Amino acid sequence: MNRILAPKQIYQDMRDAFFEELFKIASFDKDVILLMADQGAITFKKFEEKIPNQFINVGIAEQNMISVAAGLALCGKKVFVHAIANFTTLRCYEQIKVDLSIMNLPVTIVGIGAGFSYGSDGPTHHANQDIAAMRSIPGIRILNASDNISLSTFPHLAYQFPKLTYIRLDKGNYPTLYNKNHNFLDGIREIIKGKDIVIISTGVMVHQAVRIAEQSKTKVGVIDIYQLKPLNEKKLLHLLSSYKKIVILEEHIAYGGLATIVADLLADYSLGKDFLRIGLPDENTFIYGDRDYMHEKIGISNSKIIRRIEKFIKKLNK
Amino acid sequence: MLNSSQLNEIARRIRITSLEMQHLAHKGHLGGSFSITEILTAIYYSNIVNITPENFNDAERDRIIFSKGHACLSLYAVLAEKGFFPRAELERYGQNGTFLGGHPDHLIPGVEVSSGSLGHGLGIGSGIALAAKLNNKKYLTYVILGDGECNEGSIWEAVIFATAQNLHNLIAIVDNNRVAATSKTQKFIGLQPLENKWKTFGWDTLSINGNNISEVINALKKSRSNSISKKPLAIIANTIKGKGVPFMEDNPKWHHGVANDAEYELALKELNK
Repeated sequence: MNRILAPKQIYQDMRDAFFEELFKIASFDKDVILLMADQGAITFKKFEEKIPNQFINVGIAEQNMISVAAGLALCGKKVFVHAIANFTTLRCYEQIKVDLSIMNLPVTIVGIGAGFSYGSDGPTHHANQDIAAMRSIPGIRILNASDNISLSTFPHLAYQFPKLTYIRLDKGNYPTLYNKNHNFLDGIREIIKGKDIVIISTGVMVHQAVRIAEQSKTKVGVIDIYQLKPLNEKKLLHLLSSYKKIVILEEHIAYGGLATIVADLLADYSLGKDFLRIGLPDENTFIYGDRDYMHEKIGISNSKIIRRIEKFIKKLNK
Repeated sequence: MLNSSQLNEIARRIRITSLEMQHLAHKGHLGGSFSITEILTAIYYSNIVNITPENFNDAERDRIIFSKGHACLSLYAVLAEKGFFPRAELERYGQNGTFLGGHPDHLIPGVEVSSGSLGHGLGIGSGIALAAKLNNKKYLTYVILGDGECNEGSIWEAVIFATAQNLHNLIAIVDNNRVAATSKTQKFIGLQPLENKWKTFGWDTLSINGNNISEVINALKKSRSNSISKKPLAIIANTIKGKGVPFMEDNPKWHHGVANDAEYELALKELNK
C-alpha cells in the first residue's frame, strides 16, 4: 500500500515547513526547479546559494511563470511555482488550463495567503474563491494544509506522486493536528470523534472547528479535508455514516468551495443529512484588520459560529 | 537539399491541400495558413531544422512551437506530407472522430504543444529553451507567432524573461501579416514596426520577406549560428495574409472565411497557375 508519512523535522512556521522540505528534495534531485514571481520566503536564500540553477525569480509575471513551467515540465523537469495565491491561480487561470491541464503536466502550484492570511491587505489579496476556480481545472489535485506537519509533507506528496497540483499555504504557526503515523494519501482525517454532529473544515479554519468542538456541551466531531480534490469519497462517506448533522466551516465563499464539495457528495450519494454552510458571503470584503477582527465582522468568529450552530440544531429539533 | 523552385512547388502543394481541407470541412483559417506556408516549408523541408517523424521522441530534436494554432491547415498538410501521420487523415479534418481539430493539440504526431489560445507559445518555448541550457542540450526552440498574437501581454512577459535568461537558443518567428480577424492590425493596435520593439527588449532581430523561401532559409541558417550571441532571436517575417490567392490577399475576410464552391474553384485555379 502506498503511504506518505510526515518528515521528521518539526517546523515553527508554515512557509518554512513547505520550502525547507522542498529544498531537501531539490538538493538531491537537480531536475526539481522552483520558479517564483518575486514572492519571498526565508528558505529561498538557501536555494540561491546552494542550488542557484534550480531557482528562478521570473519577475512579476505569473502568466509567463506558468508557461515557462510547462516548457520545463515538457523536458522532464519537476517544477514548483510560487506566488501569492490569487496571482498564481486566478491571474494565470487560462495558462493553468491550456499549458498545464490540457497537456497533463505535473507542475505544482504553490499559493501563499489562503483565505484571509493577507486580510488587511484588502480584497485583491483575499484568496476566497481560489478553491472554486481551481476545482474546475480538469485533473488537478488541491491540497490545503491545516498545520505545519501536513504542510511539510505536501512537497513530498507532490514529488513522489507527480500530478498537476495546487497547494494552498497559510502563514504563521498553528497547533499540531497530525502525527507521524498519518498516511497523507488519505486526504481526510477525523480530528475529533463526535456524536450526531460534525464540523467539516479545511486549512487553518480546522483549528476554529476544534475550539468550537472543545467548547461545545455536546460531542461535536471535527473532520479536516486537506485534499479537496480528488476527494477521498470512500473515507468521507464512511466517516459521515455516524453523523446526522453536518456543519461546513471555511474561509472561502460559501458556494463553490468546501461546502459545495461536500454537498456534491451528499447529492451524488442521495444522503439526506442536515446541512449548514458557514463561509464567506457572496461579496468582496472591505474590512481591514486582523483575522479575528475580520471573522467577528463577517460573522465567523467562534462565538458567532456557535450561535449559528445552536440555532441550526434548534431549528431542526422543532 | 531541395532548390528554391522545388521548395516553392511544395509550398504551392501545401496551399492547395489546405484549401481542399477547408472546402471539405467547411471550416478553417485559410488566411494565416497561407501567410506561413513558406515558413513551414522552409522549416520542414530544408534540413536546417532538425525535426523528422523518426526523431520526434529524441531529446536532441529541435522544437517547433506552433503558437498561432488557428493557422493549422498548412501545418497539418506539412506534417502529413512529411509522414508524421497518414495523409488520409487530412480528408477527415473537421469530420466527426478526426484527431485534427480546428486548433492543434499535443496528441497529434508532430505537434509539441496544444495551442489555439494566443499568447502561450513563447512562454512555453522559453521553458523548453531554458531546459536545454540546464540539461546541456544543443537543440533550438522555434516559436511561430502571429503579429496579432503579439497584442497579448503574455508574449511580452516571455520576451523580457527570455532576455533576462540569455536564451540564445530561442527563436521567435513572427508571421507579420498585419491582418487580424476583423481588420488590419494597424487600425486597432498599431504594433508596427515590430522589429524595433523586439530589439528594444533585448533580442537580436532579422527582418525578412516571409513569403520568400530563400529569405526564410537564410534566416533559419542564421538562427543556427546565433549561438555566439547571448540573445534570443526574433525573425520578423513580413508576409501577406492569404498569400497565393489574389482575392484573398491582405483581406481580413479570409482570416476564417470559408470559400464557397465558386471561390474554391477560382482559388484552385490561381494556385494552379
